Amino acid sequence: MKLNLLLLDADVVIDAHRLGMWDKLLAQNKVHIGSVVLRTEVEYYIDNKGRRRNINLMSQHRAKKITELSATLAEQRILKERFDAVLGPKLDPGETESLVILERMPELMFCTFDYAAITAAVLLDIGNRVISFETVLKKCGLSRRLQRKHSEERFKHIVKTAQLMRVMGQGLNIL
Amino acid sequence: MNKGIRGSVGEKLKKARESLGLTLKEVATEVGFANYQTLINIEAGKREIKVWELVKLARIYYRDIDYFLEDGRIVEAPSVLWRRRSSSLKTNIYERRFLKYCENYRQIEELLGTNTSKKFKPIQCKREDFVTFSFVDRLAHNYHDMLGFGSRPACCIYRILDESFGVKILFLSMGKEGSGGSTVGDFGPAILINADDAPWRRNFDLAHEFFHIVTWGIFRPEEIFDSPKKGKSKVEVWADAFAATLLLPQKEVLEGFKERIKNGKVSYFDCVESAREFEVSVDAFLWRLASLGMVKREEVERVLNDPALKKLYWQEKSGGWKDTPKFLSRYVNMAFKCMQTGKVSRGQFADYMEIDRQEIPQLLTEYGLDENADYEIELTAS
Repeated sequence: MKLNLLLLDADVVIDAHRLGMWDKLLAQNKVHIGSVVLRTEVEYYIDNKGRRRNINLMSQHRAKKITELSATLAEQRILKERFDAVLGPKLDPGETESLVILERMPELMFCTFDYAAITAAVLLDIGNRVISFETVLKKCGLSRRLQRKHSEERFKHIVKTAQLMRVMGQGLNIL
Repeated sequence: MNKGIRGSVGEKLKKARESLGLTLKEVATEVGFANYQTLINIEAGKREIKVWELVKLARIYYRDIDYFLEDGRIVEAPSVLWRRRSSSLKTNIYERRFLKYCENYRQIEELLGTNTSKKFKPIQCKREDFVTFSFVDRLAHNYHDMLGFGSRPACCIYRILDESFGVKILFLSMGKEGSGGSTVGDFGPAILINADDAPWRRNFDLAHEFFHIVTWGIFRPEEIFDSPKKGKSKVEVWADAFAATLLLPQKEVLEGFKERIKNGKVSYFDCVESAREFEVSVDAFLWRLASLGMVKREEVERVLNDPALKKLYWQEKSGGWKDTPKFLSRYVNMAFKCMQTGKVSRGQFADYMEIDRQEIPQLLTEYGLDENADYEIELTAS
């Protein structure tokens, strides 16, 4: 039985491959990925010996192991315009698309360890639907010593900082 | 999708492609479209473009995706003054990469609340001032003193121009397509250097381009560019003289050279070694000696044509400079700070660095940075 309905960021897909946890993650979750990440950002990972290893997400998509979701250009633009040009987080198109999807589909949880993406989600008031990489792995029964960037501790720190920004009215444009 | 957005995105895509001299077929193949009619329809605003398709096109055109998404008319890019512009289409790409770097740098500075373009305060001079070499020489002296280049300018010129004078510097591997260029835009002044050139050549090019930056707007383009008939333009000769004075300070050059004179002679090896100390070419060093009256011009010409001299520094020319970093550390540090404090995403950081996000750890290691360290810990200032 699948545990979670997850929307994954590019970094999560890459590091799950690098750490050898991708297959288990895929087996235990219903994985969704935005089109930008699926089609333009995740073609390989670099292993511990510095070698490039291919990632073929499209074949997994064709085998229906991954669900592709998309945002339109107009949605992308509307979301970007909600952030303050200087004080708001500057996201790449893959993350922006993921946040559009997350707002549209309340049943999904977004897994990312990107500081700016977590901040953006909190500012948009959907921070409670973002989940750390460490927590996702733990829920899958995968325990391993992780880097600080993957940790729940850092994730909580980012959420707290972003919440403070939100309270202070920073980061979003006043409409 | 709103037809207005579709139309404006299409128009900007067409303009971006044409400015690089790329054909519909080339771009369509690179994106993976079945045929170029798809791209024609996108550019005409007849077909809705998917976000991931726009991401691919933006990468090919070296543009931020926001450039296509934002409202507003197409703004003309600042002109780039090339030292020797190749007719190759690759030059268009280098120029676009250079301008994108400048735009990125400005964006990073804005995010961190700094504005180095305000630091750029060139010494005021007019077209009429440029009559003799002595003015150019004095100008270089003044910049040398003002910017504190010290006795060996080449060792610190990059960092000082970047950090203290707000000049954005980019190194691109351009092979034989061009040796350097400069521009001044909303982002401030910027210089492009060919990373494939030898270090002494790069140093000289930087100082040469610096002349163009500080005299920006004073000379007309037709005065600057070399003519196939007349050869090197006067402005280019002045730029070379400026570079030589800037990199080879009179006092230090004279002192060092006089120490090496034995019975009125100086060995070729000493000349090579002196040039190496100042990190300039032997040619530049010898011409500087001539301008200081230490060697006759005819003697310099004779020596430079002597195969025995070339043999001495040939080995110097052939090694060890291929791994020039593309960016100075200030740019990388600032972009890294933006990423580590959540101002920009990892993907955006990778875009600033012109790498894939998978390569971030490796790049950070090269610059002595670690994304797993906590950069938010603070100390209390007294």
